[in-house]
Amino acid sequence: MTTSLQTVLVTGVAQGIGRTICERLLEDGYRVLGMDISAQPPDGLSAFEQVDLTDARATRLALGRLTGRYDITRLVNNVGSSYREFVRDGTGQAEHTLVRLNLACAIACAQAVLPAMRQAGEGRIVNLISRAVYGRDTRSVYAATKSALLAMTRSWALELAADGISVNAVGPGMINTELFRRNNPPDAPDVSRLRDAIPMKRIGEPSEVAHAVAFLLHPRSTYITGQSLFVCGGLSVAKTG
Amino acid sequence: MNAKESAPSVLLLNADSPFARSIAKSLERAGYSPRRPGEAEAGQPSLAVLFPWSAPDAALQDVDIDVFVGGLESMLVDAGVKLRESGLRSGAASLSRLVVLSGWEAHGSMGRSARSAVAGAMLGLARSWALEFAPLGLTVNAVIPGPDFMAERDDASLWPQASIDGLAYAIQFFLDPRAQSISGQVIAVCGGRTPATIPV
Repeated sequence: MTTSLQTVLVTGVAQGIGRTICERLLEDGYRVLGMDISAQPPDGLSAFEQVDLTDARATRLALGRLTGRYDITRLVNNVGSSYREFVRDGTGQAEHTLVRLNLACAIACAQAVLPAMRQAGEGRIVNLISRAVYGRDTRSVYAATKSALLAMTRSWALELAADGISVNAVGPGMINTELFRRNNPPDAPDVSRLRDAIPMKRIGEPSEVAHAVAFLLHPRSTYITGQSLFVCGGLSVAKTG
Repeated sequence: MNAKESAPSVLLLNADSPFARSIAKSLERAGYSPRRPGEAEAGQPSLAVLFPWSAPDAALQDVDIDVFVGGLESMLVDAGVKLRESGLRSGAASLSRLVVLSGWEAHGSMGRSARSAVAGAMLGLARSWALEFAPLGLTVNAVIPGPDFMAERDDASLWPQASIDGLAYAIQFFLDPRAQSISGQVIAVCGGRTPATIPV
């Protein structure tokens, strides 16, 4: 089976894991479409929409333009953000942004691609969640939205299975992205502590997350649905030390 | 607990649904004094139960995103506000026990995208708050009502009293002063339906 005729939409493609996912899927022969608020998509995309994905109306319009031109049968709901704050310091901004970006955008994208997937009699949706579904202090709103996305992954898997559409989740652990490096300088004590807590004793690479996404999107992954695959060097299994 | 004045107060948050009212009655029968935010009381309760937003049922393609965003955002913001009002803002929480009600839809449920999102969000909150509030001595745990509470959810007359009381008893377990070392945990009151399923 080949991936060369499949069209995949990826959200949040300008940097980090999303950018690497695009690059991997291009290597695999997919026609890749992207959406991001930043106007710096990776090379090789067949189409790109610059849009604020927290804006539901603008997102729907952009999706309409993409689905009007392409039959999208693969979707990667990658875009997401996080706020680090203690509950005592909350202002409501985290809730406002993260419910829209981490959840509403995923729903809008899934709704937009469903007709083409149903028409094709098959499809794949991969939602990017997080280890935070197991709890994360100072990021409770982020954890709530990612846990919500995990639960929706399971509901969508049940709901769409009869249409031949699989829905799975990939949960990255600590990954070596620009954002991670900016927030965690290599010489910071926190980074050593974080790395030591990982059974594999190293930070993961974006390409390792992309590999999991590519596996779940692949035409041969026909019987896997409702699952969550953590790419975390074993951190989800246990904390060491 | 026989004397009314000795009944421990339990603050019920987001408790407007028939489901929440049934739980409140069961807790009252068990000797607790359920209260809503703002009800007159001397001092802050040390016990609280947070109920989920009752999102409308809809298949994925029919989810009204604006309603979903508004409802979930309000639930999350309101929960944070109520916790801050309990003293967290000053770093001295009056609360010692918080039980978060999730929903069976956290396991996945056809045609219930929004409700499953809410149920999942409650688990994410409970586990994260458990970590964040542990240094304050506040335990946070979650209870998942079984699927008996999903069907005809808004008609409380269809819920067996034994089920309601069993659910309330799980809540009481987490509220108990002797449960001070239990935090970040999830109990499903489901009559044994979770084995052979993916853990939430």
